[in-house]
Parts: sequence; C-alpha cells; structure tokens
Amino acid sequence: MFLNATMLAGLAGAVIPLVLHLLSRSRYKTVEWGAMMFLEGAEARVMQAARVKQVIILLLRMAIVALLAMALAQPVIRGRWGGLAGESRASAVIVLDCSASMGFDESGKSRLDLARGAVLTILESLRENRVAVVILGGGRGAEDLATPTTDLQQLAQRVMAIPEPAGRADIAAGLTRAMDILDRTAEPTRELYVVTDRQASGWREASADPFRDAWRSRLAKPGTRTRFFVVPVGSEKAENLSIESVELVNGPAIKEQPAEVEVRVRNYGRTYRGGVELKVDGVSTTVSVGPDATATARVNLRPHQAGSRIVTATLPEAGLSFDDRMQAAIEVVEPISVLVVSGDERGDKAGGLQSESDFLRIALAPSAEAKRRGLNSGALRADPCAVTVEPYESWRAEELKKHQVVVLANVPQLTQGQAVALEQYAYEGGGVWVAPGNLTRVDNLNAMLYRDGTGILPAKLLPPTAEDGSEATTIQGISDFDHPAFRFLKGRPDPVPAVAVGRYFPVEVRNRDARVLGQYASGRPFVVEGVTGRAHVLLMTVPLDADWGTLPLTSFYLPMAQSAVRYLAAGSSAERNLRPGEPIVARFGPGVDARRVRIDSPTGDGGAPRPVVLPVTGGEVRFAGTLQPGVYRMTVIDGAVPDWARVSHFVVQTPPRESDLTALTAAQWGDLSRGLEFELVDQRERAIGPVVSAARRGRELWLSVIGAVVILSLVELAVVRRWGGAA
Amino acid sequence: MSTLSRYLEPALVERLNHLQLSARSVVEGTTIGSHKSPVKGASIEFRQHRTYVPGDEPRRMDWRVLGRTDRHYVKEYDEETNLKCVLLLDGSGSMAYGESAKRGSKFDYGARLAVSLAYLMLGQTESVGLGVFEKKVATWIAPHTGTAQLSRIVEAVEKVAPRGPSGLAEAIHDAAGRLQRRSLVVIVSDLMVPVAQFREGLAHLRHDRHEVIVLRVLDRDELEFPFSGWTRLRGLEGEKGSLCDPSLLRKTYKENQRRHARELEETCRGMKAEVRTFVTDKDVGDSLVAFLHHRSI
Repeated sequence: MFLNATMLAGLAGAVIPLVLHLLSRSRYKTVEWGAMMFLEGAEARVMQAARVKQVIILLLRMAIVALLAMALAQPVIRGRWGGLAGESRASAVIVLDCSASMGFDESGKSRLDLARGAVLTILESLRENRVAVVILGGGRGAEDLATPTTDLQQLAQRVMAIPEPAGRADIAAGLTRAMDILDRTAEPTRELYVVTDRQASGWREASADPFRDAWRSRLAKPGTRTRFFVVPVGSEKAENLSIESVELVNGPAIKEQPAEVEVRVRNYGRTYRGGVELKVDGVSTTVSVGPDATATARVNLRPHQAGSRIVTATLPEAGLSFDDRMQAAIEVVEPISVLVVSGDERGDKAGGLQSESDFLRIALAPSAEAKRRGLNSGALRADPCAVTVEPYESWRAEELKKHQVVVLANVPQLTQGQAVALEQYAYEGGGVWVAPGNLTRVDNLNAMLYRDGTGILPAKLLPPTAEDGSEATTIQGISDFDHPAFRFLKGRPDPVPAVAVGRYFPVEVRNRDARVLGQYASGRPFVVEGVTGRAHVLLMTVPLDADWGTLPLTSFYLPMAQSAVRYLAAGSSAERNLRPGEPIVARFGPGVDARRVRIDSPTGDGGAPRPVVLPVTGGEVRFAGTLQPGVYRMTVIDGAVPDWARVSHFVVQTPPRESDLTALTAAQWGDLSRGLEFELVDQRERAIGPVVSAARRGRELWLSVIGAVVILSLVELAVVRRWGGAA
Repeated sequence: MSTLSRYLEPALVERLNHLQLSARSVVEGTTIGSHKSPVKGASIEFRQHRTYVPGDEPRRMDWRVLGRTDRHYVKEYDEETNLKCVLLLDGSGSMAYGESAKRGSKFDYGARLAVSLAYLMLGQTESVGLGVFEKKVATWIAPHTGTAQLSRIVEAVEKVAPRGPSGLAEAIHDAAGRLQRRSLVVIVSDLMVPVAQFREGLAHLRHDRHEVIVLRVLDRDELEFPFSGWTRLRGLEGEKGSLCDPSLLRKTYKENQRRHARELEETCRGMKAEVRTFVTDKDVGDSLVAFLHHRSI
C-alpha cells in the first residue's frame, strides 16, 4: 500500500534513462577511425560485452528513478509484518497510571497532568474505535472507565476529571485487566496503551518471568493482532523525601503520660538532606538523612484526653507531596487498670518495700503510691496505671473484668475456678502477667495454667534453682528490642540490664505460640510470652520483688513494668495503621459491650462513601473495604462502652513503594519492551500521534527505499567508473 | 608557403644542419660516403672532418685533433662510402586520421618526418629514396643524391592521399626486392597491422642485412581513445563501422593498444631494429631532433 499513491506517477520517469539512451544513440557522432584493429575481430566479444554493460547500466538508472518515485509515494507494509490492517475499527484500552507517584511536580505540572495530555492525544488518534481506560491506583469510580465506549469525548472529559493521584501502581495487574477487556471485544484488531511515569517499582510484577510468558501467550491469541505501546511521561527525577512510618513507641498512649512517637524519614534521593524540619502534631524537631538512607526522629506528645486520635507528621514539600505527610491512629487510654493478685501481702509494710505488690505499686503508680505512703502531700501527678492489690486468698473472678491487666505476683496456688476465670479473661483480651515467687507451688500452677501445654501459661515451671545461690546468674540479653515490652531499651548504650539473679524458675517452653523474650546468662529463659488468639500472657521466671534478685532495685524495673503492662493492655487493641486492602479488625476487651459499629470510610473519588454498619461478633468486628488510603472512623452505635472508647480511628496508609521514584534505566526499558513486546514511545524523542497513526496505517518503508536508491546510485557510479575506464 | 617549406620549416632546417643520421651497421654504398664500407684499400683525398660516431674505424680518427682539442673527429675522404637510405612512407587509409584536426593527419606528420630525414641525409651526400605504400608500394623513387632528389621526394609525397588498407609486409617485401645493396631502411608508419605481418616484413629486411629504423606515427586519440557519448566509429581502411559507447570500450581498447605496442617493440628489439614512436601532438622538429640526438649517443 502507498500513502501517497499519486507520486507513483513518477514511475513513468523510469523510462527517462531509456529515452535519453535512445536519444543519445540517435545523436551519435561519427569518427573516421584508424585504429579499428583494436576493436575488431577478436575484440568482437568486447563489443558484445559492452552492449551487455550498457543494458545493465541502463536498467540501474531506470531502477533508481523508479525507486525514487516509490519512495515519494510512501509505501507501507501491513499485516503481520507491519502494523494493523489499515484504518479498520479496533478495540483499544488505555492503562492510565494514577498512582501516588504521578503527583510528582514536573516544573509546575504533575506527571498525571502530562499523562492526561498523552491520553487525549491517543484518544484523538483512535477516533471511531471503542476505547476503555483502566486506572492504576487512583480512587473510586475508575471501574466506570473500564467499559469500552465509542464516545471518546466523554471519555476524555472523565479522564480530565480524575482526581489527585493516590495508591500504588501495579502495571502487571493493569495489563491483565486490560487484556481481559480486549478479550471480551469482537474486533480482531486491538491496541493497548500504557501511560505511566518512569518509576521502576510499578513494573516489578510485570518483570517476572511467569507473567511475561503468560503475557506473550495472550498477545499471540489466534485471530487477533494486538499492538502494544508504552508512553512514559515525566522525567527521571527521583529526589524525594518521604515519611515512611509514624508509630507510637510504647502503646497504648496513656492520658497525661508522655507518649513517644517515632517517625521514620526516608531519603530516596542522592543528596544529603540535613536539618529538615519535622512536625508531629505541631511539635517540631529536625531530622537529617543521608542519600538513599533512613533516619528516625522521636517526639514526645502528652495527650490530655483518652480516646482514639490521629497523629500527623509533616515534612516540608520535597518531590512528591503525598508522602510528605503521614497520619497514624493512636489509642489514648485512661490509666491502665491493673489488678495485682499478691501471694505475699506481708503484715507490716510501713515504710518498706518488701512484697511484689510494693514494688509494682511504685513502678506502675508512683504518684499514688507516694501519697499512700504519706511521702507526698501535694496534688497527685497522673500515673500511667491504677493499681489494685488483692490478696490471692480473697480475689474474685468477677473482678477481673474491671481491669485490663492482671498480675499474678508470687501466688502460691490457684483454684480450678480461678484458673478458668483467668483463662476466660485472657481469651477475652485481658493481659495476664505471671510472676511466680518463693511461695509459688510449681505443680499447682502447671496443673492450673500450663495444663500440659494447653493452658495459657506459655511454659512449664520447673522447681526453682538452688537456695544457696550456686546457680545464680544475670540477665544476658533481650531477644527482640522491637517488642513493645522492651522497645524502651532500643537505642540505649547499655540495653542489657545489670540484674543479679540468685534464684529463678527454670522453664520448659511449649512448642507453639510461645516466644522467649529474654534469657539469663545460664541460657534459661528470663521472660516468655504466650499469644493464643487474643490471649497475651507474660511469664517471668524471677519474682518481682527483691527476694531472689536485684531486679526491682535497678533502673530497668520501672520502665520494664510499665512497658509490660502497656503491652498487655494493648494486646486487646486492634492494629490501627494498615496498608490498602488490609482489613480493619477491631477487638473489644473485657468490660466493653459493643454490639454494632458504623464505619465511615475516607472521601475518595465520587465523594464520601456510604457508611457501613457491621455487627460485633465474639468481641470482634472486621471490615475489608480499605483500598482507599485515608482515615477510617469506627463508631460503636450499639452497646455499652466508655465514651473514650466509643470512636476508634484507623489509618490506611499509601504504600511506601510509591515514594521510591527510582526510574527505569534505558537497559531496563529495553528488557521490558522485549519481554512484554511493546513499543516504547518516549515523547521526549518523538510525538505520540504520528507513531500511533503510523502503527495503524502500517510500517512505512520509504526510508528503506531511499536507502536502496542511494545504494543503487553508488553501484551505478562504481559500475560506470569501472567499466568505462579513465579517459 | 612553398611546398618544401610545408614539410621542412626553416627553423627545423637550421637544427638539422647540426645533426646527422648515420647507419650503425656496415652498409654498401654506391659512392664513397660517411659510412664504413666493407671495401678497403682505396686511395682517398681528405675531404673534411666530421664528428666521430660509434662504428667509425679507429684508424680514421684524427689523433692530432684529439690531442689538441680533446675532441673526437674522423677524417672524411672523398672515397668513403656514402649511405643508401630508403624511406618507406605508409600511405594507407589509417594514416589519414587527424586530417580534420588542427594538428594534421598522421600522414602529414610522417611525410614531414620523411622529408626532414631526406634533407638531412642528402645533405650528408647520402643516397635517399622514397617508397610510399598502401597495400603495396605505390610510389617508388630510387635512391639518389643531390638536391633535385629532395624535390622529387617532396613532389611525390605531395601527390599522395592516404587511402585503402595497409599492406606493410607486402610493401616491405617489394622494397626489399628493389634494394640491391644493403641499405638503411626507415619505415614511417602507424603500424596498424598485426604484429605477425610486421615481423614477416622486418625479417625479410634483416635477412637482407638492411639496417631498419621504424618511426611509428600515432595520433594522441589512438593512444587515449578519448571519445564519449554514442559514437559511430568508421574504419579508415574500409573496416565495418559500429555504434558504441566508447566509455565502455576504452579500457579494453587501451589494453589491446598497449599490448600491440609492446609486441612491436619486442619484435624490433629481437630483429635489432630501432623503433621510435612519434605522437602528432608533439612538434615534429622537436621529436625528430630528440630522436637524432638519442641515436647519436
């Protein structure tokens, strides 16, 4: 086929060399020649050869003129060897990347703006074909664009109305969805466009061999011809500072108590960023981050009210704006109610710290304890906990529900009823801390709480070590400094507490749902955690008083006790900060009677979504509709809950992957285009319109034909020179 | 311009007066001339000194002049044998090439060469004759001395219009048959004949112990074959013409021409005949003087 067939009239020019040849032959000159002997007789062959050479040169010249005419006529090749079958109707899908990275500012325009422009150009070239648009990332309402339509004007308007970019890009998923749409169409001719930025992370799944193999099979579907283009927009700029996480170091936060919030800042760029201002709920600090590195900053907040709240960390805008601000949901609780079931309430405690409960009171409610002992007559400062001590002989099971954490401190034994109540309490989300002491009957505790590994106790107690101190030891180390109970040690120059332990209870840790959090120098466990469902149990193998060691006499004791209690109290709480798609799971602990909740999702595309009402089953409620990043609000609309616990916030955060703007290299683009069989149309090098139009019309050959003309011309020159000889 | 001056310009004459043409081998002359005679013992009278040329007998050397002037001269006596020379001028059709050009035809050039040589040798009191041939000798002037001979030669040349095929071998055989004594034969021709034919003729002359000088006259076009564009080449000796693009034939033509020239030279060398090529775009006087100088070395 020829795009400019009228130029084929130039083929007539191919006879010009023939005409000139004949004319020159007719206008020959005559020479009376005396040296005919060199051209006659045996040289007749020369004359014959000369005539053949004349014909060859003539044909070359005619071919040059003919090819020139063909080149001007713009030949195109179609079908399998070229492009699509002419201007016939096709189905087309445009995969438009609306992920968060498309919000990057490119000299006043976002990458999404550039992408919209590219989409409009593509739509312009598609005209009367059926087109659908698949959105990667972005917000709600994108499904509507995925229905093929011939009303391209309306489609263009809707593309222009796409709101701010959000979410993450999964090119592989987009391609699969696009191909599903194309497979449902009737046209054998198909076109697929991906308009995206140059971010490498979006192509991760598409780079995998299994996807590539499956993709190529789909492209080669019999009876169809698919032309696949990728149009990258924006630059390779990747300088970006982002907030990677915002976390409460030691949750839950307690009203009027310092709450340390840790913010991780990631520098994706290649330049050092020093002294960057970071604000967390209005509290400023600075953070310095090296190139391609992460730094953390901690800010102390002091919440004055209990309840769920949102903490917001912000950076000055740099690069991508969506990740310069991150919200986190934290729970602020009233001082944690702790019940200490004490087995060692000694008679006279005036002025002295003797039993476990004495030490625990001081650690968990120092202000109240000081007042109780008459050491402070002024106003009470807020304590993180409200401690109630009950002798083991008299505590009642129904009291458990009033407290968030129960500590069994040197309890000699438990009755069956008490053990059942404790287990019930734990499975309902209450925190249990077991700290045996010199009065504890190992066999009873094992029988009541361990029950051959089926109970709530995570390890079987063995008889304590020798009284003579021959097996004395020290605490050697903590297994996991990121565990909430020991996070307070992280970053300290001497994280291992210097505690002398004269005697302790060796234990046999059960195989499942148990973890050693710290050990002695002897190798025996110091603290063991058991998590079964909602039950969180901490087992310490040394008493909480100073009878067998110096634990309560160290600076380690107070923060350890408070962290342990916070951790056990938070065990019933839900994870508040989620990734898109991760379900909200809210658990209501003992003493909270929640029956129905309403969930309000964040505003996305199409306005605020309708609230969802869900029942609470077994103290738990689940909600899976968390694709949209933002703040979700859960309100207990039916049930008896404290006011501060009525509303809970959950934050779905944009995946950090979108903050990494590292661009694909030229080699990676090449590898992708070969693997996925697409044509890369970089607008910095060539415009989309002509490429797409040419693809639809076919592969133009004029350049090849011009090349042939040049080659033939050179051949003609060489032949004439060689056969003619020097004059 | 007189007929003679057409062939012999005054400037050339002046130059020729200082030159001579001698036979390098033994010849038999009818009179006593400047060439060694196989006949010895005759008494002689001193006639003049002339410059010594290789071949002269040392006994003829004037040793006193040599001692005084350090120059070699021989004494010439009236009884020395004179040279008999025959000029064989090619008048075939091919010699007419170049007629329309400013430089003139090969025949004109060759005729000027022949007349110049005739003048030179008649001045040396040599006998000079002329034979003009086409397919065979068409005009024959027997060798004689004297100025009248020159006029006769010029007159004969003037009447020749080159035409017809060349019969060099036949012409040479014819001329050889007319020569009773050993002579110097100067062939002035373009030699547009097969080498075998030329070899045959030359062999006859050499068999008869004649000394042969071959002066080959060519036009520049015959060396370069410069034509372009469609050309109909028509043979001057009646060959069949052909329409061709000369540029396609040039290379082959030149290869053939060079091979032919090489074979001619090898033939002459083998037969101890001197050969010299004259191109008509060069001044005939300059070329002839150069040749004579070369020959005198």
